[in-house]
Amino acid sequence: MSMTATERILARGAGKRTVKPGDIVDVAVDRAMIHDNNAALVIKSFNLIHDPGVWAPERVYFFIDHHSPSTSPKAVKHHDLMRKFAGKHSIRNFYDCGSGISHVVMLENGFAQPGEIVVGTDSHTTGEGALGSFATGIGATEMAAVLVKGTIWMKVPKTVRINGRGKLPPGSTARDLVNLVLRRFGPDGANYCAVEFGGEAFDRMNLEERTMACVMSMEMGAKNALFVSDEAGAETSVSTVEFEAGSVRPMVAVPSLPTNAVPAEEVEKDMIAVNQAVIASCAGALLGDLKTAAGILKGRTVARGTRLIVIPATRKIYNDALALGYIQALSAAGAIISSPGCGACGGHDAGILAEGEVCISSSTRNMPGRMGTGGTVYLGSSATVAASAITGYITDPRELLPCEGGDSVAE
Amino acid sequence: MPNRCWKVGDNISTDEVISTQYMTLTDIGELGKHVFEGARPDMAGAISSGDILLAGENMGYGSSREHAPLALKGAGIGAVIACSFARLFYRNCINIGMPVIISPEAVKASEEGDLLSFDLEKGTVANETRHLSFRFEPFPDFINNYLRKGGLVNALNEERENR
Repeated sequence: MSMTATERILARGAGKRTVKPGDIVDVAVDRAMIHDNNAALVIKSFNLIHDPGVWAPERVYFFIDHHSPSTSPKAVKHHDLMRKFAGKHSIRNFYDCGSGISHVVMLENGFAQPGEIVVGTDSHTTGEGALGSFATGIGATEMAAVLVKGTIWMKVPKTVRINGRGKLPPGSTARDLVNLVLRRFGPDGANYCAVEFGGEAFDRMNLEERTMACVMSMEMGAKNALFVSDEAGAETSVSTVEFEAGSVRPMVAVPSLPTNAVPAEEVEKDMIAVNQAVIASCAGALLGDLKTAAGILKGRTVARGTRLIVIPATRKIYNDALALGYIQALSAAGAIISSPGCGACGGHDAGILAEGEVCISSSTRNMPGRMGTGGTVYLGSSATVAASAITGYITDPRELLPCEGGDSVAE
Repeated sequence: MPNRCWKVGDNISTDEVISTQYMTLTDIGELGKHVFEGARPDMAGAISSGDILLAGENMGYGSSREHAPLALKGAGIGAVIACSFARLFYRNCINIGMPVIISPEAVKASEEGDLLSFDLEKGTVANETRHLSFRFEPFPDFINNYLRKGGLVNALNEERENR
């Protein structure tokens, strides 16, 4: 029987010839990622296991990306705990403050190879499937067990194929297409499913855009997400949902679900003033996002009454953006540049909202309280965020194409 | 023994169960004090040990934070019954020994304050207030074992001792 990409990976991990949706299998973990938001709970559970030891320290990756640099006495205590634990257990893959967001750094370094099984203590671990691994999020206690055993049970998911036909029109971005997909599926439309992206519109996406798509798949409930091109012989037996890329317009997810996407031009009519605009996260602050934002903001300034926060996803992206002049353009326009990490996306440090404040963000989530109690978050592409930062209200970015002198960064 | 229930809606995110600002807490009692702080500020102080949380579709949507089920446990919640669950929250509950039951019928037929009981092995939920009973698909044995032992760590320790 032919299997989908996800089924093939899980079959290999379980040491079986075939698996089918619904099977419960124990699979060997190739890589395990733990970040500072959940590490203290992982270590607490690990220490409750009798005579614990780390099964394969070279397969374990520690990241300090949620509270980076340390944001409180409690957070720094957890960082200290992580460094000591890593030292004691010979975990050398340690990505300290400023390295950047785990998922993106893992991909930059080729740590989630095609066919591998990757687990991480973060729901957006789905993003690590961008190169073709099975990557999924798990909780802290389960991670403690993985550290000791090197295996985990998985129910083999059904696969849903998302097919994007045609090409995106100028002015619309991969994020807008993905926002449209999220709207179609809703917050639980892909629950427990493996999501497989294919078709011309997805095949054309670069690794950054693929990362964003795999990250955001989590918001419709996906267990894992990966890209399987038509040429690679995608299984035709799985359920397929088709999207026309040619008609995609800039989309904004209105509060309080990431799947509440509506056309930006509709939202714009309501003249929603934004106190804060944020370019951040594993889905919204990759090099291409900074390039897009810099292109729109070069030669312009952030509106009075709006603060623009830019948090490059990783140190590599930060350095590349510096070398290419994007950071200079953003800063000259009035942006606040913060150190690489998750930052404002989860309201952990830079960019918490006051009660009643409104934010437009390229980050991943907009549920109530996500960026601070009483704050309201709209989600859009980095282009939409940059355009809104200039006007001071939620704006369709097609009206603000790069202006004179913007060409050198926007090409 | 039946327990009183609390009822919340659809797509309740882990951000709502426990706000990001409490992510640096690891003590479940401390976490429990802040459960549903934004959405249901009346709840944390009023939950009695063993109370049951009823939720709509996609309970526990969002982040991987185990702090969410730990906060519920710390506040005294003894089980969660929902129309459906988000997978990470569902797994996290099982791993900390919190029973999670999928029964849309029970959720729809019950109101906050009703007295409920359940039997994991038989796969039944009873609403004692309204004299109704419902069936659900029981867990596979290995998951019921986690719940009986109080979570994954205890089950793993027993497995390692018997090896």
